[in-house]
Amino acid sequence: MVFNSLDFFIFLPIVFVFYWFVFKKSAKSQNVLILIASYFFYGCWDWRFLSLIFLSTLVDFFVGQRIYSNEKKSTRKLWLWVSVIFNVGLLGFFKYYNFFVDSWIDMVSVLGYDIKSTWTLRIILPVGISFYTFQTMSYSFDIYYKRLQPTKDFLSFATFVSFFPQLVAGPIERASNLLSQILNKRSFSYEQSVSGLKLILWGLFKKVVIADALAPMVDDIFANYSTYPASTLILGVTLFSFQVYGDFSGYSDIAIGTAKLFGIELMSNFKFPVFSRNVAEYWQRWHVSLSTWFRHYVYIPLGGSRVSKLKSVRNIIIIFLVSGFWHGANWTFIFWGAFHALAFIPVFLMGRNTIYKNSVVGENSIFPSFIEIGQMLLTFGIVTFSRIFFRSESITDAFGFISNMINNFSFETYYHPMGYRMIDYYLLLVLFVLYEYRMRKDPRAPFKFKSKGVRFVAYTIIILLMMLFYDDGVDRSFIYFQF
Amino acid sequence: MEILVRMFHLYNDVPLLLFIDEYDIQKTEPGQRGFSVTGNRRQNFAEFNINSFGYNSYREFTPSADKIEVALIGDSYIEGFNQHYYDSTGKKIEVILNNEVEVYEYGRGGYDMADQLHIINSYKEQFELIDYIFIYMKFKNDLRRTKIKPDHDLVNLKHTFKFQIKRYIRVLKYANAIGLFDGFRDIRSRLTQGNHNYKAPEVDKKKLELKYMENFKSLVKTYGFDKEKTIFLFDKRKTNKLFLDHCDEMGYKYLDFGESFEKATRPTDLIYDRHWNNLGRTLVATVIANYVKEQEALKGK
Repeated sequence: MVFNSLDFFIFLPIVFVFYWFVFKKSAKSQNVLILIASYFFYGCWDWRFLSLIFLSTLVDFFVGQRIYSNEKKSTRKLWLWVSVIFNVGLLGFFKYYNFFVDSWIDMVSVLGYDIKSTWTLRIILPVGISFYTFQTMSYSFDIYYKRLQPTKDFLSFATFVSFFPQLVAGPIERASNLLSQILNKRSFSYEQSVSGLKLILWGLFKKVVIADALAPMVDDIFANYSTYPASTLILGVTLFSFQVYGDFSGYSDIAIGTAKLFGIELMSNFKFPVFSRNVAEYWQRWHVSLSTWFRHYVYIPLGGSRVSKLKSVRNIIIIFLVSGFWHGANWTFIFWGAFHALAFIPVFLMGRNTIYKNSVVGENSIFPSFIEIGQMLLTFGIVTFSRIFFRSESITDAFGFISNMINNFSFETYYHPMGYRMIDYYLLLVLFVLYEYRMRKDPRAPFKFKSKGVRFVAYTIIILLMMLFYDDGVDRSFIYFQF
Repeated sequence: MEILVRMFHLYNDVPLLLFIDEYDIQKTEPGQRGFSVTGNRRQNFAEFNINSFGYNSYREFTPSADKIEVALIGDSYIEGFNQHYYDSTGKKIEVILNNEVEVYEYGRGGYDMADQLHIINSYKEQFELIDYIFIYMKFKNDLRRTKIKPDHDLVNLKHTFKFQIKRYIRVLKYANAIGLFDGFRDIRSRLTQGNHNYKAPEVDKKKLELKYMENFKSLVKTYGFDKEKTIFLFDKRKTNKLFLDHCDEMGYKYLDFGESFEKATRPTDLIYDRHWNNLGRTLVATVIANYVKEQEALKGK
């Protein structure tokens, strides 16, 4: 079941009504319903893989207890490794097994040996596996680092792992935030629910109007990159930048909004990365739950930036490569990660990696300064260029795309593959960026207008835009589901 | 939403009120005007005008012995809701022939050969005055039956509550047109049809073609056929060889517009639906106009 399906919009009100009217008595009854709803939500895709979620839940629940009850560091570490090996093992098998086999065969064939592959398996990638395994691991890590006490309530823990709004594509929650809320009874708040509905509407807008509407053009340009001039290729990757942002941040908004309907606050996952002034700031604003995960559980344990510059650079390279690999079993993602490491290191060495941590562009003014505009354009350019690797089917395609950009450096008007007016899309993107700029200080507050009338008009326009750009022929699944 | 959808005229005024005339011919109620809209963002937007005879045309049909008249009979391609009614294939023929002929378009979506021959037969007096009758046909679709069967259920839909809602609540009409309700239909079919793997039984293509040929012969027998002034209009590339051979053998005249479509360097169909675009209509009109010009020249000699 996906958020932008009718099935979900039938499922959600039913669960909502049961939650607040039938199962409202205690945290336990609320969690029973959420757990059933979450397993049903996931089972609609493939019920067989519910066993993986259950196993992951079971292992980390048990490991958490073991880590906590042992004082001896080596024993605690041993139990932590049980969690890591189990969860990474799941990922390794379902997500990376074929990649490793194929890469091994390719490497051997470079050395002159020809191996006929009979080892690759026909494995389905379970939806959301990269998200819930990381979430359960974070629980064990937090107990290991003594930031958290394990819960004895298995029901609550299972609800924490499988909480349907964020189960398949995040935000990757920490137990300190989500589990603590799940352990307590939630009370209905009208303001929270309205705020949730606003986020759901805004998320749907980003998915339907920005991401899905741009998808046919991006697909066309990336599939036929060898026939297009540089101007079209630049357009294609720029549109992809907006597509992937609309898709993933739209999903996150719907997830956060849905959780609010159940009285739960999830962490913010996107903080307007388009308005980043350098690559470091971009990573403080893009997929925040993953980047902080890597920072807390990989970068800092490796020494972070408290070690020598050289070691810090090594740590940066490691987290970006791992982060790239997390996205998918393809060399394109590893290159993407490496590219970001290369873009991040100069910022780090100049000591500018945290200077924008607590500010937004145009902090004390309506408009950004010319310097900020330049910084944003440069950052957007770097990030967008890296998306060539992210979007290409293979590393050969990625380099083919780049080489075509250089060799066919010319301009040609691009026409929509379905014959639609391109001006509609350009106008839409400009308005979208302007509106996001307006709300840049608070990612959780779309439609923040004082006047009820203005809010009403805004809702109407958003729904109309969704209708105007809705295309029932487009594959409506979320990009990050594949990760 | 309703106001905005109306303000930007995003909804389609088609389908319209229908009626069945005294000859059991299904037509559109005269005097209806509006816009045919395709796509979410009015990607195709065309005005239509139903004349007093019940067809989309800027003309009234008034044939007489002292003028040259051309009749175009066909389905939605001739009906032409996807183009402005003043820029139809018929109008283009008139322009090419310096307005020396009048073209009457008897087009209605879903018409097949039975409807077409039945119209000619029913309005015999009118068609006797018309000089050229072009029947637009698609072999695969138009020969499935041997007699007309007026669809009273379809015509009576206008009396239903559902039709009224569809007609007057424009936002629902628009939402339906862009596929927003497909999800409900999908759920309904999932609930009502247990077997998702149902496959329609395979039909013997050869047998079907022979049946269509028999149907054609039967239709000609039932409704009659004036070989002198009736000409089939089709795309030869998509027309069955059996039918072509039969036409040659029995002396049925036909015009092929497929050749000019093949030579065209730009698309001849619309992007949003399969109907002819402006170029397609111009090419078809040119083929017809050239034929009429040729025949008139021969008559002059």
